[in-house]
Amino acid sequence: MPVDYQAIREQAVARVREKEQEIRIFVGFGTCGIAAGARPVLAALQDNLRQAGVSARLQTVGCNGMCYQEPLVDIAKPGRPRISYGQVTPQLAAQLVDDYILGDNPRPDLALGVVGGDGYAGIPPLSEHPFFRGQVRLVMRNCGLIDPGDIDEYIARGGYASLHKALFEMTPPEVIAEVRKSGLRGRGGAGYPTGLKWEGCRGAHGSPKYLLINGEGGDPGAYMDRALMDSDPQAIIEGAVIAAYAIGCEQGYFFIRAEYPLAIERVQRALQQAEERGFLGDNILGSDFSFHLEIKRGPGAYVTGESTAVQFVIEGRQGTPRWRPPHSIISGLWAKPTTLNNVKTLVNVPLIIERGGEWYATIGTEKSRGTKVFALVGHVQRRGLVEFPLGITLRQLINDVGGGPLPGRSFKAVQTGGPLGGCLPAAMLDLPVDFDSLKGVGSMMGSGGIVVLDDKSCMVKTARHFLNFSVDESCGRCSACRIGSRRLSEILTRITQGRGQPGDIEAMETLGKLMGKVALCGLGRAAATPVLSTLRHFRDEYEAHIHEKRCPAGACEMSIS
Amino acid sequence: MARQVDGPTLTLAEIISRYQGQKGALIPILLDVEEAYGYISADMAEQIAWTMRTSPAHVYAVASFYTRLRTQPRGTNLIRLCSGIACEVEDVTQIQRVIEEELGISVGETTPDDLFTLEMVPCIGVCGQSPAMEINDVPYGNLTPDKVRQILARYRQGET
Repeated sequence: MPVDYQAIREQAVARVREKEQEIRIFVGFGTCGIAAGARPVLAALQDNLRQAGVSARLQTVGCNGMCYQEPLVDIAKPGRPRISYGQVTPQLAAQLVDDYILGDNPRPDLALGVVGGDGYAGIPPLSEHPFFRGQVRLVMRNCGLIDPGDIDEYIARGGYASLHKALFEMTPPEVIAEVRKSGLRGRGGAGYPTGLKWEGCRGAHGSPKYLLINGEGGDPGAYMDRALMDSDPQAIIEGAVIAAYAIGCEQGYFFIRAEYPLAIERVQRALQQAEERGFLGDNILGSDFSFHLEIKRGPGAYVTGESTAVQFVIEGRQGTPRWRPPHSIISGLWAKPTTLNNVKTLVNVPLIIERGGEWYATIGTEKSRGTKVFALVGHVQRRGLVEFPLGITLRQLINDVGGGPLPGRSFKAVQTGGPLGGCLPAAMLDLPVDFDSLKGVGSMMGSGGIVVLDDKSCMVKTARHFLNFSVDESCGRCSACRIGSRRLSEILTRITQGRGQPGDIEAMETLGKLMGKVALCGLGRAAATPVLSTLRHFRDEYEAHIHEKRCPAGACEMSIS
Repeated sequence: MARQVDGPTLTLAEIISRYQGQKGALIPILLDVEEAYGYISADMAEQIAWTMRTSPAHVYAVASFYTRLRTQPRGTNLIRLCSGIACEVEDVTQIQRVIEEELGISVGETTPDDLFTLEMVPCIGVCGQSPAMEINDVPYGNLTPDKVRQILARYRQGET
């Protein structure tokens, strides 16, 4: 007997409404909020409320992406809109309790904006803030708004309606057809069409089949996976159950880096709640479909984000990639058909089921449908996680959203695509960011890291940073990557120390291109990209280091001057 | 999790028995051992291997492959300074120097009083608050030399 979803939804809405009868204070408690000092702010709010004898509901929520404004505190009084305040200190928290909780002054001078609605008392809507203007929040639809520890809040916003629809109104091939129609491509970086992957795995011989959820989120500088797991774990789980139904698999593993303890804790709790409500486990929502999901902690190795390596971790071995074929959808975990989906990919799935593949395909560009979450970090005024339709230009991201370089500094380069991506100069800022455009100029979108570098950054040193990373993270299985990365790192180190030689540039180009051809996995093949892209776009900086023993940015300590 | 001052709460046998009959149990076991004991010694690797009917070389190979699994003992407080690109561009090197000076150790070392171990890790996912570090899994962001000195002082006084 199918469970009545409407009844579940109404109960959840009623419970959430009950909370809304009280004064509610939301404290941004993602890893980023805690790092910025949310704990003492929470304690100050508790103390001040107690001393004032006011009862209010203090709630911890995830991260809305506005990292540069953390710690974030939102206040919602009954019948009033929710108002957001940024960079809250314990002193400021006490002030807000005095002025707006005890008094009736919402402090427009301190407020960032009104969350999800029109302006109020002279405070503009948060959606008009330059950081949020133009954002299309699909993947981050609940981030920072709901309590990630309370499944009712997810359900009250329509959560699990798509799972119910998929199970009772659609066959698995229909679910796959809808996802294919949407044009959704893997958000981990590779951009493989999700529907096609599911179809291949569904049709593969062998049982059981496995679903692996990739929450390794290993690209330094791209921390959206962590933020999603911190802030909206139920959306990932719902997407995963729909994926499992479409593929026909009953067992899944949620792979999360052990470096993300908060994400592990929140996903664990979310799994438990989903199971209690019948969204996970045996006979989901009264259907014939069963799916079990458990967390596997990643013990820390960048390469284990790679699709074959992650399987070896779960099998309890060293996470070294293997040659393909066979592809994982044919022979993956324990040699069974296995689908690996990134957390961000899965969060799109409930929306596609709810509103249809055709609707989803209207967002973005022809070959890159939908939105993308970007981690905008480095030398910009406003840092954080933002979500835009694919095809937004680098210039829009950096200048309009990020507010451009810090005062008195100027833009030099933008590094995209994580440690295997490249650096692009100002002349390329009008390129659209999608799966394909940046590849033509020697970089890539990858998982969506956008690191802005200003005039005080040395491009040779930046390349060295990434190559040192690859030296550390190379699994060592193939010599092209293991030795190639080390040789490149050695040459780069020499150059930054003023000991560059004629011929270094040519040697690095030859070696880098060779690695791109012969290395075993994606990491090895792309490990030289930071060098090749900086050589392509910032060659004069290399030449100044080598021939003039001079660092144009003044960032390298040259031993010979 | 900080290492228990009065000894680990779980024995090796207890940890291993948690995963009895499960496929792919080696890494969860090693992560739990690491959490309880702070590291995985050659002796422990050997014991785990015997119980799991595999070779000590295999267990040690897996343990030494991953950054989260340590094969050397560590101090009570584990400082993991982020070396990701977002921290690199915000001059994490300066922060590294301050920590090294304050503690009198280099990256990879433990203070003589066993109070601190300093490690560099590739990214802790707090890029919006770079430069950042974690002490015993608690994240600290927007670090400045002064802020780091204050945080270290608190841990010296017994914060865990």
